[in-house]
Amino acid sequence: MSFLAAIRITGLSKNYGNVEVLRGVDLHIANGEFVVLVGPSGCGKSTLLRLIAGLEEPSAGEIHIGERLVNDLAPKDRDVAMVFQSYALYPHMTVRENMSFSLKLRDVPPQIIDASVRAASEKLGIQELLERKPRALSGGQRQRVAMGRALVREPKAFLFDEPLSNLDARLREQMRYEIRKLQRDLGTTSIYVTHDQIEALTMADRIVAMKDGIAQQIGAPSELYDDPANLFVAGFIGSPAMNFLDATLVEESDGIAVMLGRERFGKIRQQVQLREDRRVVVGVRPERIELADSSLGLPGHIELIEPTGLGMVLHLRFFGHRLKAFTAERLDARVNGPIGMAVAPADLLLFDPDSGLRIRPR
Amino acid sequence: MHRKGRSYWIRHYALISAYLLFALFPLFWLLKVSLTPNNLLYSEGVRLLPSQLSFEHYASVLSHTQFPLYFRNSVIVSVATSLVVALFASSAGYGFSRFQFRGKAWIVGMMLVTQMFPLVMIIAPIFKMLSPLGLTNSLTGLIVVYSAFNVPFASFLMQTFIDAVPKDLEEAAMLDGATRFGAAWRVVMPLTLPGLAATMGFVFTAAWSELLFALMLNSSSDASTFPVGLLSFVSKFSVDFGQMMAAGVLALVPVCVFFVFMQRYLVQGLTAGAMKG
Amino acid sequence: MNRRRQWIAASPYLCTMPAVLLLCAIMLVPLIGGISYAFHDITLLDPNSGDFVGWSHFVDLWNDDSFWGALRNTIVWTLASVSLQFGLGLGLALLLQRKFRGRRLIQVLVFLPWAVPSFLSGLDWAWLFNPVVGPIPHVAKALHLTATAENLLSSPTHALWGPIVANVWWGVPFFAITLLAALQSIPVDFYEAAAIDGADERQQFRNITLPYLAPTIAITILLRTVWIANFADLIVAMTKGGPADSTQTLASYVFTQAFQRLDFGYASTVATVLLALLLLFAAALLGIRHLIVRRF
Repeated sequence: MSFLAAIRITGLSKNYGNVEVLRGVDLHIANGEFVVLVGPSGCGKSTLLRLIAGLEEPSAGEIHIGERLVNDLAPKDRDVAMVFQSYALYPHMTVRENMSFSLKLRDVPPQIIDASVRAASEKLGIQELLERKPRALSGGQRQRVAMGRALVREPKAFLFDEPLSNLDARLREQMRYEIRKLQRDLGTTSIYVTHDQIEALTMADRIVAMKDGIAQQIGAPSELYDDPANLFVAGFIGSPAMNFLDATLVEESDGIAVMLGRERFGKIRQQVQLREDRRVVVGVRPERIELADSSLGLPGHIELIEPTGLGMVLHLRFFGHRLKAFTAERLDARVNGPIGMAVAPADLLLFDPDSGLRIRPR
Repeated sequence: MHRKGRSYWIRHYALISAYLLFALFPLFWLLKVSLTPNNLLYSEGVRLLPSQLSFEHYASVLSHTQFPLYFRNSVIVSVATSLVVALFASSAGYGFSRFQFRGKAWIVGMMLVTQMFPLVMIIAPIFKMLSPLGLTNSLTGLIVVYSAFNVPFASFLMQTFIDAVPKDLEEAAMLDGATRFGAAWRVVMPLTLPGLAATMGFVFTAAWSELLFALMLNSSSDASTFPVGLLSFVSKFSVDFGQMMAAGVLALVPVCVFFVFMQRYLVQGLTAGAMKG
Repeated sequence: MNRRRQWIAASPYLCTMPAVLLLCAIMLVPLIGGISYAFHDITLLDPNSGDFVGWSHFVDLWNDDSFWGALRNTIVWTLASVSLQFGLGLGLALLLQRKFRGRRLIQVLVFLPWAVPSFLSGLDWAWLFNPVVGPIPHVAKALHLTATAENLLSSPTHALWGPIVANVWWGVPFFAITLLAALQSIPVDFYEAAAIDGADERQQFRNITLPYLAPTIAITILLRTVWIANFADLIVAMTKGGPADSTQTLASYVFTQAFQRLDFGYASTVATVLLALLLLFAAALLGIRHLIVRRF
């Protein structure tokens, strides 16, 4: 069983020469939590992971693992295990030797090594592969061996660096489930880096959405999904991506109207801070657009229909504005035909056009 | 790749055969002269095969000269040099491969400069330097000097081989509990063995064939290597070609054997990309 | 800066120091000594020598016809050797690239010349060129290349080609191995894409193979050029620089001045000039490369 280990990151920054890769990140991870760092390439998520592992030195800030300041500790002394994107299995060693390596380095007695390796390999279903070399394994098998290597160490934390990127879609789905289940059974604190927001949504206890070296929002998946902090998070989380429209707000007696040009798009009931120019970016999730017969609601024009099995993505046009809508129903809709749309007030999210920040109701 | 036609393969084998002829004929001639008895050496000089085969040259080389001693010295010097260079060059190659550091360009430049002048130029200064240290007339002195000569090229080779090992293998090892040195020793080195073998092969061949310094730094035959021995067949009045060629053939044997094993690793080692995954 | 950080910062220097120290001691320090000889009168066996003579050796050099001849020969020797070694090496590498029956054995055999000590191969080839004991002059006569069976090494105009041939024979394996390894590292995808696009063999070679190999080629050629310019063994073994200094290169001239005339001072002068020329050459090449890299 793993120790009581929280990970505390305060004011962590990293520069390479003039390039700021990480800018003052604060993050507290509770013991046993599964935290996902997600964001586009270059956002700093891998750098953050590597700093925690000790593979790089921070330019500023502190890292505590289990109440111990680890800034000056070598990777081997931090008691964390990492699963690499390329798996980094030692090619000249068998699976068994790969998994035993860390224990051998610590002079653990051979019987205990054997037992640990056996237990870990059984948990991962790779008992048959112990005497093989990495080059004789498939991608999925290598991935499990990489995890087995980490498992055997019973570390304070697991660090995952995009471990599923090299697998095909079906295998990825399966491994997502297995990794999360394994982590729950073990209760080991885990930090997981990915660029895939689906992995983040399905696996995380909390998500850290990162861009340009800054943690844009930290919260449970539902928080980031329902209550995004800015344009980046809103647009990054959720697929198909949120629709963004340039709009203006007009105060009315019973609320605030959202106008696209001269067309009325929707209305919000709550009070928000209005800008002088009344400009706003309004965000609507495709799955939140209600669709009906063309005689009802707002007039939309269907340009393209993408069936996805689960439902349909409809590419719509509303007075010159493009929108995507998603529905799980089987509608009687046709390309180039008309359709009716509506959006509930609560599903209209407002963002400041210049800063990208979310405008939350007062 | 699509199947090649017959004319392609004919041309292919023809060209290879032509090259083989070019490469092997002089060696065949070497062998032929070594097996030609002395009296027929000049009279039958141009014939492809001597009318009489004789092992007299080999016999006299092995029994009447100090060749066995020279041979032994060469083996000691060449093997020791390969080992020393392997150590120094792996270390330097690792440094070049894994680190960016101030002064790297200077060190690389310095290594290049050491390849740029005729070694004749430093014979006298080296002699003056080694003499008081007792390293002249000694195999150790030769080992030291040969190691220095070969380290730059060997470092460059080792750097290439180490570059081919992905860095995350060392990172994985460091997380598993190894120091950087431990990771280099347990993970990187085993994976560069083919390249190391190739490098040592190059160094062995170079040390084995070196004449100038072996001649100039030694005055006694105790510390002479076989190239010096070969030269002893050249007297003021004539060249004893028969014995010289026989000695040469004998001396080729270990290098060829070494070479047979080594050259496969060299190509394999230089081909990056085999290490991924 | 704590211990660990100090250790990390020092690591690269610790790795490279053994090699650096060895090189400084055995090559750089003596080099300085060697260069200083160029400014002194150092004649072996003359107890009165050792005086500082300033630039007089260099002046003598400027007026020395043999020096200029040697300089010319060095260019011929180096250019011919390198281009032939490279050309044949590339051809050999291309031939060996594709799998065929007996390739492994043939690969070993064609690389054998490399294993022969240079002066031994020099003597071997001298023997081959000698009409009394070697077949080449007779073959040349039979092929009507020459009027009589004469020794190439005795011809003041063409003797240099003897050592060049021996040098090529000896040096091709090095290029072949290096280029073969580089060829095998080119991903197959490029060729497949090109084949689909309709490129034939020659076009594939020109547009994929050559550009991909360019960096390897450049470095290998630079290193070998420098090395061959300094390579005197074959010339000394085959012609001793003769007949009448017609095959002297700067490197062999250094050798003969040092060991035949025992004039180490003058020999060092020639060597210093050779070193300077090669440094200029390397600097020029790197400068050109820098310009090219900048442009693209």
